[in-house]
Amino acid sequence: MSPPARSVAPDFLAPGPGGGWCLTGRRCTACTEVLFGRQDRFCPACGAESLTDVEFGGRGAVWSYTVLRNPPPGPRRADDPELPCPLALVELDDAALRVSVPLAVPVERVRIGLPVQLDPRPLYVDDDGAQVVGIRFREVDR
Amino acid sequence: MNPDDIVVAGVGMHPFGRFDRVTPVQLGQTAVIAALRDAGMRWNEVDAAYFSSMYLPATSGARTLKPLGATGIPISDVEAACASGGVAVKQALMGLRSGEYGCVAVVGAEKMPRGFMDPRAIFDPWQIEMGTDVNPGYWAMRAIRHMHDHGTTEEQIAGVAVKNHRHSVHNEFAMYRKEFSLGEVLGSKLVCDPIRLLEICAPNEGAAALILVRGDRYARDDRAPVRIAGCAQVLAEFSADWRAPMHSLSARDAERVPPTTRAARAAFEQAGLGVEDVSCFEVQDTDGFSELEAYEHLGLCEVGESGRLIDARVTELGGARPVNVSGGLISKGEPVGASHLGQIVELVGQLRGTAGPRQVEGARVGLAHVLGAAGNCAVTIVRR
Repeated sequence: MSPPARSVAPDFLAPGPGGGWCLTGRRCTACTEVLFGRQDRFCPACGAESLTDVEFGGRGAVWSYTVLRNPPPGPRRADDPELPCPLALVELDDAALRVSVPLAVPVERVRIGLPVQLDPRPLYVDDDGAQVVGIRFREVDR
Repeated sequence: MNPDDIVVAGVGMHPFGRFDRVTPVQLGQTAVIAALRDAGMRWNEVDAAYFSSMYLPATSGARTLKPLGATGIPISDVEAACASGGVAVKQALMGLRSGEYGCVAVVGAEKMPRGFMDPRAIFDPWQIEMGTDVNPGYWAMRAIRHMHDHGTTEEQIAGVAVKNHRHSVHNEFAMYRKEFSLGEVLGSKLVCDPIRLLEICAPNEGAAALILVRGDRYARDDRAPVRIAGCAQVLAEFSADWRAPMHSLSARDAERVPPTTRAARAAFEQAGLGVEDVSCFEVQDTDGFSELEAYEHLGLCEVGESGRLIDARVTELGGARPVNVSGGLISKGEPVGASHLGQIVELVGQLRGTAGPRQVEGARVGLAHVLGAAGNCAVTIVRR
């Protein structure tokens, strides 16, 4: 039996409390700034060492976007994203935060304000047979 | 001459472009030898040197400059991405202002690989796996949001490229010296919507150098002396950070003061000048939109109004606020360690009145601006 799927970036995408996946981050208890991911020890906004782990709901709206027209550079195990591929800054519904993610949305439908939700994309199968997944958002009815 | 004034005694360039058979040492030496000649000085008069580059190996400054004379002076390499040259100027300025040095050489040289910059330098492996490791993507998303909020158009963004390519025709140091029509720019390939191929600067090779001296070491000649009036280097604050961490952006817009604004304020304060005093600007036109954003962040216009400066041809040579009359990085290319010093070389020529067909009439104050990875930003102001 193959091991369970795992996140390509466990500090940013992790198994959710109710099954499935969720985006993760930290919140500063001193200044209330919200951060994407769990790599920070000090709050970059105020400098306090008072960050607490949070999970995000995974719903948001496109705040801005672009469209990748060429294969992205660099070595990767995953297949290149299908082109043209929209990339977006998605503003989360439950945090003053915009996260930079690929969209599984046809280019002609992408617009600022489009409601979207987390829908992780299988990237590649690891050496031990585990599916590795990455962050991606898809359109959702509001 | 006030002994505490910092004077640009000499400037020199190696053209920006592609030079497969020229080594980085040769690029840098060409620029600094030209700058020494321009100053009428010899290497043994230099008290210290700062060498800016991002892609060259350790001790490139010493390797480039020690062969001019092993005088034992300190030669330090500095790096701050696209703002590397600003750091070199800033360090030189502090050494000169303190009086510890009387003459400092500031040299920037670069030799960058062709094509997209290697994403591993600034992106994590997971971002590369997901395919979000595309540099123009971040600039492009700024542009789309600006178009949405303020009605800025693709034609206005393309207009920046048309203007800068037109300016470049007279610049023998530029990589591309060809005019393009608005139709040709808008017809060029989309790289990351809305940014097109002819609107983006290319990483390349080249070098630029300045010889800076204190007023009491300056030997007056028949040219008007050009002074460094101010120089500031900043890093983007968290809420204003569009470039890094590249996985997210704070949504607290109200707290956002862009790095360009902060650097310009600090440099103007040192200079005792304001944006209205500036005769010509050289700004970071990584792409057409980046130049428009610089207009707003430097205070050439209100936020949202930058596209209208293109429509009204305000920032063209001959306009009230000429920007990038050198052709900008869109035409010159961007050898990151040398780009800011190249801007200053251009402005010194403008202030001396030796810029030929691209001369800004009566130029007295020039402002150079760079902005890049991690929100590194530098602004240098020169004046007659």
